[in-house]
Amino acid sequence: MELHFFPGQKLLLALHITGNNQVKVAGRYEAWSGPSTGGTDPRMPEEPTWPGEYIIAKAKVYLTPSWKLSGIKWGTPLQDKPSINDVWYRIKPQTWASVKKDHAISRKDIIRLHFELYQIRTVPPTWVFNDFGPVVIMWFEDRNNNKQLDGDETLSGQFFHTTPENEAQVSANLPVTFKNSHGCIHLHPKDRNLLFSQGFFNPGTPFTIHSYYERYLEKPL
Amino acid sequence: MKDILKNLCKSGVILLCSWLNACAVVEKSKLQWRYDGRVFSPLAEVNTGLDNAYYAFDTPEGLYLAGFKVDGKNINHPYLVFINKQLNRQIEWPQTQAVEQLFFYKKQLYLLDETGHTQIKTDNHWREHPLTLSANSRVITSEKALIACVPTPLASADYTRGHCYSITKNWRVDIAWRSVTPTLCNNILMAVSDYPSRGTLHQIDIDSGKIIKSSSEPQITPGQSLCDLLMN
Repeated sequence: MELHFFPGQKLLLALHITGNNQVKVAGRYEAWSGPSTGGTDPRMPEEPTWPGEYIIAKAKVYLTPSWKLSGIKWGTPLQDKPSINDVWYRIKPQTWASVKKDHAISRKDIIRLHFELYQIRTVPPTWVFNDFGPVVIMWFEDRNNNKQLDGDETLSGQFFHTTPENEAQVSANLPVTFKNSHGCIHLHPKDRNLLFSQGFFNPGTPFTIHSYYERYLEKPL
Repeated sequence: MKDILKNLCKSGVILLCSWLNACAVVEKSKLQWRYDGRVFSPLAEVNTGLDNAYYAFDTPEGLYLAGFKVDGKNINHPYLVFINKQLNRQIEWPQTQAVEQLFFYKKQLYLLDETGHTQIKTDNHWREHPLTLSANSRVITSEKALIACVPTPLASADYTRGHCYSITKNWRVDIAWRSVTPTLCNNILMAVSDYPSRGTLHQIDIDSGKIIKSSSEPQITPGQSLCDLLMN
């Protein structure tokens, strides 16, 4: 199994490699990269998705302080507290904390964000605003070619992930509209699930990011 | 001697400020409010019917409270409520968008919603007005000029730039602010950018929108008066 991403074509290819090195395309998926040249977002400048040969490392629920909405895990239970103008989020099975106090995000912000995504003015039962979606798939450059993350190898800061907008579109049976990322690869939520179920996101899968100028020219399936 | 004079001047300024503040208080209703929608005078309490109140605008006649009524399906319905100073009269106006702010401009009371649309109050009704601001704007001043600021968005996929702009003077300046709302101090717009690094204080000329001065003030916290920094 191999994955190949052609950012210039917004194309992710899932390939089966047979014993005699025959290549069979198992699937073609729309996927969006960062821009081909750096951007100027003051929060975090957009960057190209770096070409190279990598290995899929692992999937994980992602948290980062770099993005305000990504300091809470996707799916974290919420409790609406309108009378104190707050929303609580669960930090342990019996312990709740204030989203306003811990993350400087107001109840009104949460209602607005939820309305923008789901067209309903409620505090959702769980956190659906993490910019990285429910799960990210990480990769690394395998310098010693042993398919293991070891030695001086580090995980890439760019991942496969879905977006809150695309998750909301899928839940409403609406067409998915992609946007360029800050450097990660944006996937359709259904494609992510399919690639997981087919084993393409298993640790050890070879993954190549081609340059923005390369094109995959084989006939479509 | 010089120091004594200086201190006297300082005390004079403080006294003048206190008096002006006192005057300002007299011009308001003196009503207090809570997030659960209750409003208080020193003698009485009323419930507005709001399940959540998040913003109040005080006037000599009474208090305007913006908030939500939450129905049985947990859907929040945006409202603006007015409670008179005597707490014996209430008017409520259901809204299609959440109210962001109220402000006086050209002697009229305006309502600004989250989408940037405005309404003006005539008699006891609000009617749509063609004045439109950018979505998520906050009006910083509406006295001599109309200046508003839009915070840096929360979502990474939202590429709106945090900025301030003047509708009347036709300028815009990008400032990546979020945690501290910009303030007008002595005709200078003070704004603190959160990105790329937290705590750069910008002083902006309100006639031209040009940044006059920028300095690093990493100790600024939300809620702190930016005007104090100008005085220092």
